Amino acid sequence: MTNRKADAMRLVIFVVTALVLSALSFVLMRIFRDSQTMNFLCGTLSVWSPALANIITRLVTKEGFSDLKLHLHLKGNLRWYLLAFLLPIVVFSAAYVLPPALTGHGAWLSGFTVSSVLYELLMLAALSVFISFRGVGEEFGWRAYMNQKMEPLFGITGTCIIGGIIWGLWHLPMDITGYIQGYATFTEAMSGFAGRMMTLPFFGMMLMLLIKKTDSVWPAVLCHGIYNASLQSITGLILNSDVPENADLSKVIGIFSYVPMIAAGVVCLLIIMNDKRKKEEK
Amino acid sequence: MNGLIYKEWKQNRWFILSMILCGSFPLMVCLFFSGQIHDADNLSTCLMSSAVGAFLATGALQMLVVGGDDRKLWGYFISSSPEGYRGFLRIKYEMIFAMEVLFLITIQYADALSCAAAADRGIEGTQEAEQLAESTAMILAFVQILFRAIDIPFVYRFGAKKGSVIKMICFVSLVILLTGVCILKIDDLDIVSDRIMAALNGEQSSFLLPVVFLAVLAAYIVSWFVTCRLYLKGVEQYDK
Repeated sequence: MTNRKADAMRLVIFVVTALVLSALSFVLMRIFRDSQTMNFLCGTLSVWSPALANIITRLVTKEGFSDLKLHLHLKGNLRWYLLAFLLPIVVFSAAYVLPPALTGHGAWLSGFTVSSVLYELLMLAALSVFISFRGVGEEFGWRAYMNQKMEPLFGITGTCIIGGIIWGLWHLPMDITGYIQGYATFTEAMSGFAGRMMTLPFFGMMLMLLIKKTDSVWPAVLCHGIYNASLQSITGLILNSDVPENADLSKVIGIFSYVPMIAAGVVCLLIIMNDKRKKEEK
Repeated sequence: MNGLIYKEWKQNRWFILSMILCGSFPLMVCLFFSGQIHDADNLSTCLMSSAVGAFLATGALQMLVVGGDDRKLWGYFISSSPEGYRGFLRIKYEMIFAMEVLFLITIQYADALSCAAAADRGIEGTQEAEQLAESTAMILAFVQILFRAIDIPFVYRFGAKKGSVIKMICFVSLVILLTGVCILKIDDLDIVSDRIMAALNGEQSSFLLPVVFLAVLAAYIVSWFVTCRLYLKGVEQYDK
């Protein structure tokens, strides 16, 4: 079997396994919806399904466990770890703070005092290693395995776009849970899903850059963890602000919330392409 | 570097994996005493006391991975390898930190599962119990990291046995010194304690926790530099 065929086969096994495990956990959650224990166990299975799919695929295809990208590679790469920490914070700050500030709603950001922002930053920095661990399940699957198999088949841009779509589809059960449980409308659930489909390919570009620069999955894990945690921190700060009850924050932020992520993703993609071109020229 | 990681894994894999067992301890305790847990307070007490027990066990297990390499021959061998003793010590520090992370993650899963099981049994307020247990585990993890930052230089400077005795002597001396200061300044103790309480309740208090956490992480990195400086002096004193 040629390398491309073998990669394609491994990729199919991986994607099918990850999606089946995620769907299985969703079905089990529905069956045992009254049991919090089962909900917790199924949620955990779902979050770790890409990592499990990585291991299962390697066992099934007998390709071995080399190139797991588990080395830290800290030496000479600290700046990439720092970027992994800062990038999501900058992106989310630009997405959620700039629109109200630029549209004359600066008073809505009263929760963003120097001390509160500094506190959140220090807390994120102190707990970064621990909060990032929750991203291992996904990154060990999507970036440390799927990307490696996709890149020879679809190229860098194709990997980011197709990988982002698969990643978004994998999130679908989580996105429609709110609708099924009755605390969100179908439109809300679908708009959340659409937003995810729009941002994940670009977030994938950021994570791909980190992995390519360090040859390690850990900066991507850190970036993913900080992505989740910084979103929570910024939401918390917005909730502490004086936003009028009748104000529709989503209208003010609107489509602009995606712009910083798309811009950062495109810049990361250009850097990857540039590095590739330089490598080929050598 | 791969060789050093392989060596540590072969030598210490059971200690590393035991972190999962220690992290699962609160879950086991909650299952064992499930009949006695009737409300969120019972659950909190059970989770926190078992977390402290697990914390003590992990401390002992983490120190076991540090010992065993205090041999002169090994010290000379690793110093002459391409990675050098600095690379060897870096792997040790990274491994112990990874053990701590593994312990913390496991204990968080165990706490969450215990609380979910309690909620299924009709106990209310399990979310608060889970948050409290998570915070406790986090604080204990940082205390553990601080202890390792102090322990490891002693072990590599004086060897495992002698190092622990010298560390004990230092701690006891420090306690005696502090007690002496307290006795001599007994009239001023109220002022000191009032100032501490004011600082804790003041506006700056919110910064205390993240700053202390970051300081602990910084201390762990500084500890690696200190151990690197002391290692070769220690090797001279090791047994053959």
